Amino acid sequence: MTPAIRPATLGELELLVMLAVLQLGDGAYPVAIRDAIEERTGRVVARPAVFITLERLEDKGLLTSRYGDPTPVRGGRAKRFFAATKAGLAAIQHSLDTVAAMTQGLSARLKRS
Amino acid sequence: VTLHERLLRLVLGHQKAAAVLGDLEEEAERAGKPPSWIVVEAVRCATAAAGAALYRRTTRMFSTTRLALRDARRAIWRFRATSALAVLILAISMTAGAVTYAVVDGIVLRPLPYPDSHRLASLFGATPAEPRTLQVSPVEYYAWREQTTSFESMAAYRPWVFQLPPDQGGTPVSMIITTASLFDVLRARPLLGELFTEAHEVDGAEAVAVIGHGFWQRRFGGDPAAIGSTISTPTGPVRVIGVMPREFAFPVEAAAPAGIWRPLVVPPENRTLATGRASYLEVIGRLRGEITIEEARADVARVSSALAATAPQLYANWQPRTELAIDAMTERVAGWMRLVLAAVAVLLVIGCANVSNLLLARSAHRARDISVRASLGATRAQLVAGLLAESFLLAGAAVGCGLLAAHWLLELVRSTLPAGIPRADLIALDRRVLAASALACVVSALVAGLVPALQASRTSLASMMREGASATGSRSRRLWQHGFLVTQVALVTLLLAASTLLVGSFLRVLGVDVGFAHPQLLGVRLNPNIPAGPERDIRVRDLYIRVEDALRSVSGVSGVATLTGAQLPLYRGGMTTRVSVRGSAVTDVPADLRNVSDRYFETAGIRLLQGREFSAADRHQNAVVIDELAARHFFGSANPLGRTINLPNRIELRVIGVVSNVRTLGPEGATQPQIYRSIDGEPPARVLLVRASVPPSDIAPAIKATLDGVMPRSSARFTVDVVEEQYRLLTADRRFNAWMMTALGVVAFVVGVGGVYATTGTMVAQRRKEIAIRMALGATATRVVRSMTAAAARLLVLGALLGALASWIAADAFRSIVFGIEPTDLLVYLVPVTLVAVAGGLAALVPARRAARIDPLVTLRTE
Repeated sequence: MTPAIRPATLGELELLVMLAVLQLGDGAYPVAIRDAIEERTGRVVARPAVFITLERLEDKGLLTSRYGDPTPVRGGRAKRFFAATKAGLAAIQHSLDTVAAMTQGLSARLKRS
Repeated sequence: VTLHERLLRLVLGHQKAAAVLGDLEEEAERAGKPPSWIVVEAVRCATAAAGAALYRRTTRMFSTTRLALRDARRAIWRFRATSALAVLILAISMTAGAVTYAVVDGIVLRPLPYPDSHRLASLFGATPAEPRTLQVSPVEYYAWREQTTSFESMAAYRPWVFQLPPDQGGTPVSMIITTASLFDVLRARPLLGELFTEAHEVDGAEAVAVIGHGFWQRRFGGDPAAIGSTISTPTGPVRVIGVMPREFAFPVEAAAPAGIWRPLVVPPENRTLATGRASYLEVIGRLRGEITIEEARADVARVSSALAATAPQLYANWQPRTELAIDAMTERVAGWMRLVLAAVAVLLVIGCANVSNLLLARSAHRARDISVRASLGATRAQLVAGLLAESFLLAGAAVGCGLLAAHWLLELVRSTLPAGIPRADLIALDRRVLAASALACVVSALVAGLVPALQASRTSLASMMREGASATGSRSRRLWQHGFLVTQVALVTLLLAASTLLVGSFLRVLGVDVGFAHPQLLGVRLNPNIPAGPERDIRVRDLYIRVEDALRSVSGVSGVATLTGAQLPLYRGGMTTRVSVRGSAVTDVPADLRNVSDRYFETAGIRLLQGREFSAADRHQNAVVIDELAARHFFGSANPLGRTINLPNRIELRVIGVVSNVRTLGPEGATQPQIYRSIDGEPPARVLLVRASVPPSDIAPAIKATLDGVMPRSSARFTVDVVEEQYRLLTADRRFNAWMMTALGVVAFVVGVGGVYATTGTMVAQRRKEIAIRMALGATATRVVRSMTAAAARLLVLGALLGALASWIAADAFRSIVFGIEPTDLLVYLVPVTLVAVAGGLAALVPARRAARIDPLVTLRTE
């Protein structure tokens, strides 16, 4: 595998999931992540989509995960918490920079519509 | 554990599955969903995750392959000289392989084009003189058909080629006169109309015929109205009742595909031995159920020996033969064709060993490159994949070049193929050949690439770094190099031994004395139309006196003679009689009988060993000339001159001369005793033998023109045959396989010697430093050369001896193919061993001398 020299580029859902993880801090587990996206953007994302996106981001080395303590409300099952890695933060920054670079000078026109 | 949980665990593993289920239960409780919701969502998650994993794995595999191919491409480019050499070596082997496979597959390996063709059997007779495919008489056919139990159906047929009358196109047509059962045996159905049946096989039944698709197209333009129309044949007009489909061909081996099949009518009296035994039929049968060919053979033998017991004198020396149809058809060529195919496989292995060595040498140079990649985290599998990709690319390129070359070469081979080889028109670069080439590509890529790849990716990082720096081969790599070299040399020796056997056989065949002078001899079969009548005898005699006189005056003709009752020497067919010698054990011994004119022996170049030739005075006398074989058979060591022999019908003949034995079936055919009588009037059909003093093809037109002037107008057409052409035809198989094996031997030799050169070169290159140190310490150039060549020579000798040993072991397989040479003859091994050793030694000397020119100062400084 070629080592990642440039920050990885993120898809739209990937970016949303990464940002949600950042927003939630220590409490970022799938249910909360999905809720956060819905709450802030009004967008309902399919559960499997969130799950495989998280898996993919972890696979790419942009997220890490750990298992919490078993909680009784969940049938005694542990939560899986996610946190962004350094590469993950760089990827978010890169994506935002890309959008910012592309939106520069468009603010007047974009507000009007 | 519930089913959906098990499914999740299967896809995600225990811990992740638990976390996902926990999430789902939490949401279900929060939103008040029923337990079935959890099941549905769990299944959705599992499917999505499985799909994502599959996708990830495939893309990763693709990218690995893509990267491996990219690396391979770069490596090939970086070492382009070696790469080109490797492709060249493999391409040569692949070309030879594709061409040979195309030839052998088309002729020998491909099944016959009938349903369940492996159940078809051919039945013949055989005698010591004609051990292969003797036609049989209706008597045997009906006995086999009615009394054997091994065949579900059996058919008899005879081919007949004739000229259509001018108003019907005037083209030659091949007709098969056959029993109706042929179509059952072959399981063939007509395209149009119907087939004839057993009802048509009786005298007086309407003459009908089934025509072939090609004939239908040519003659009738594919018009369905052809059914019901009439065709003229030499056996009378026939009405067309059916058309066969395009793919139907029978017999397959015929030079021109048959156009017409018509019923064979055998009068009931000819089905028993009451009227004697005239052999003109070929027989094919379909084996019943699970019957094996061995069981059928025993069955046929049982029926035949019962038949032979009723008339022992007619079946003396005669044996039935039952073979699978495909074997019977290809038996003349199958042996040496399989040998040639095996030789090509050996050549391919030689090529692979050679390329292996090239890649091994190259991987020595790439050790550092590989160690860097390994240290960056490439797994061994990835490294091997990268190196294998290289050999796959090389082999792929070689197959591409090889097939292109084969496409062109196949034209050449097809045109040089000996005449009369069955199915030669099926030879083509078709799907079967492409599939075989693809297989050869994969196998050779693996064979040539695996060892170098495993070697290169094997050693530990640290040692690889060190070795990369010093560029000397590791010990195991050197062992492999030596192993490949020995293999190559051994296989080249094996191949050369096989070539020596076949080339030697060919030379021996050419050296066989056929008993007469075949060059510059022409033959003409004449059948003048002389009406029956009291004077017929005299008119025939007068005609031939005129013919002979006319021909003698043609310039370039130095002798003319005629014979009857037989064919020219070397042409199949002839008359056999039975000879007895009163007062001795010789009774009813089969012998060739020829009736010949004066000066026949002189014209044919048959040597007179004792006594005299015929003269005009012998014409009505019972004089006979016998050959040396007959003399030995009939009279042992006693002087045969003046003794008498008896033919059937109490004819007694007095021996006046002994001549050399003529090998009537060619150099490799066995012969039976031959006796000659003086020609006497009838019959008018004779063979004219003309001795030329110039190249025979030069005077053939003059002979034809002269005969046209002398022969009666209404006589049948005739052709002028050049006997030498028949001789070349009879020796064509030998010529061709000797040529083919020589070609393969030369290619293998060049590739093998090239391999010796390359490997010695690598050895020298890898030991530069060592050589430099030795020279710095005072070793002379001679000593360096000697030590380098000695290393190569040891491997050469080992390889050559192993090769000789292998051919010794394989010698039994050659036994049926060789002629006049013992496969265990020492010379057969001495020739290749010497060739390989000498050429290999010279090839090793070149790089060894280069080693002696190493400048120790320069080398040690750069190292």
